[in-house]
Amino acid sequence: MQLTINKFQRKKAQLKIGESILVLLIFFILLTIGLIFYAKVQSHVSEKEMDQFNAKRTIDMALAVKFLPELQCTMQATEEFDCIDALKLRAFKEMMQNNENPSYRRYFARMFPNAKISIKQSFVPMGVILPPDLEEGGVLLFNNTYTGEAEATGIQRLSLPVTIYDPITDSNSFGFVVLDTYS
Amino acid sequence: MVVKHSIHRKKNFFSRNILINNLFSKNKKAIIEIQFNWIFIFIVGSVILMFFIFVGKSYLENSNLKLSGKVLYDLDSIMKGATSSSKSASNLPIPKLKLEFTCYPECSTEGCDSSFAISNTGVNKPTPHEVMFAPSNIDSDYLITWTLDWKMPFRVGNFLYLTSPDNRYIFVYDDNLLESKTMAEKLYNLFLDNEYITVELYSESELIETFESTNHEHIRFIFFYPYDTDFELDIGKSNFDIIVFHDANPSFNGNVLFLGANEASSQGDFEGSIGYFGKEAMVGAIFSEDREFFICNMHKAFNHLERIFEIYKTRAIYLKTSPGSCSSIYIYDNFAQEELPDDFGYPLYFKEEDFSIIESTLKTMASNAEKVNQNAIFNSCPRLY
Repeated sequence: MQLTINKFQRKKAQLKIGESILVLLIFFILLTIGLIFYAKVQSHVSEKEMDQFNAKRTIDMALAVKFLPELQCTMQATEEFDCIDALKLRAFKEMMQNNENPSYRRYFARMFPNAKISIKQSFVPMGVILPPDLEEGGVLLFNNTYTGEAEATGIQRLSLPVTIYDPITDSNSFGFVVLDTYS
Repeated sequence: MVVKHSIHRKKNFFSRNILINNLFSKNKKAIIEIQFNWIFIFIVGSVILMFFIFVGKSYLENSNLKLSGKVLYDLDSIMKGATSSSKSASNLPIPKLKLEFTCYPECSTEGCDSSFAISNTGVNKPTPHEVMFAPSNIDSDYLITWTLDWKMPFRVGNFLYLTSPDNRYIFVYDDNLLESKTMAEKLYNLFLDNEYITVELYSESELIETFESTNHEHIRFIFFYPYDTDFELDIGKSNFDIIVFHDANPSFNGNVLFLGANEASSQGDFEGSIGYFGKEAMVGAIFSEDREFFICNMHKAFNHLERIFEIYKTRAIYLKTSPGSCSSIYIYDNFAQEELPDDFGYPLYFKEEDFSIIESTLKTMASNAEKVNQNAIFNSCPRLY
């Protein structure tokens, strides 16, 4: 009789431990589900933030291109906004292609990382100011992309309207600074 | 009957014994079970507590890192925006995080070892090419930005000056030296363009008589003469340092000496002076933390100058070879063929003779470019700059 009681009590105790373990197991399962859900939400938020960051980066770069003293039109050393000097652009291209001094290329690669920047003349009232060197038309300023188009998770394109000034013919034409940022 | 009774008593005795034994073993088991429960609760509780502490800590670290990164990126955008437009000044509210600016003078053509960071976070933004004159620490709710464009005479780029309302700038001139007073006034008037900067102008005698301490964290005294008198001022709890534009006839090209608080009275030989070239560089010296910080930023500025000069030179060649009657204009004083010396740049170890070499190179470059430009305007030809 006593043995039966003992056995019964032992079983009861085991049941109690089992119950506790089960409660803990359920608790951890719920916690894991919660964490997975939280991680998913966080990754979604991170993705959104990354997109915002890339958009900001693109705008920052576009602003930087527009205000580059190497390209900007000046009148008595005073800069003219939203204007690209065609002769400066030619000089700039030559400087970038100069293999004797690659430090300039590296300087711009650091300034505009993982980006491709070109200038496109869109309206040609007095002839071509910028002889295009790209398939889709336009002059390539730099191609600092280290992520290929296939591997890129996102490519953001921003076109900023500018005027292109040719000092030789003293003429202006409309154009775009086209900026592709890879992420 | 007696036997039976005794047997019964014996039985009773045995059953009581078993009961006691059972009770004892039951108690023992209960004690073990209770102890086990406590151990179980303790272990599981510790695991759960550790887990939450770990999650909380990593979340806090991550969010701090994220916040620092965001603030740093926003600050970088603000600075880029400020640098884009010249002669602009602003007083921006920023989160009260300690900003650290570093710039080491050992630079190369690739740029300088320079960055700004939020203290104790490990998050920093490298600024190898950005010309940014600032104190080494800014620990304030506001960031004062100011930009001026450096011209040679063509526009080379914008210099960015950073400070906070905690800094006070005191300009001091010698009452007996007209040149000293003129230069101090010129620079003082330039500083007044930025309404957010605390700047005051005193003659030496006024400074001794009327100077009052304020609650500014840091005071920078800027002397526009080779001061050689020791005087005592009550500056309250503020820190201070001194810079001296010690040339007999101070101008926008000259020499500057940085003195720390402990070196304040060790003037005389002006050893360790370094050159500044242009009004913008002179202002840069006033905002720079120390000599090294100034050299580093001047090195960046000279790298920009070299690159922009190349552009204008090539542009002059294109203008020269273009059809029309203007081609002869651009070969004036051989600007298109002008070459900068191989060792052109701001020297790491600035020697006395370096000043005149750099000054003459810059003056030749500037005057040639100016002449070409004036000639072009006079002959209705495209301007050089």
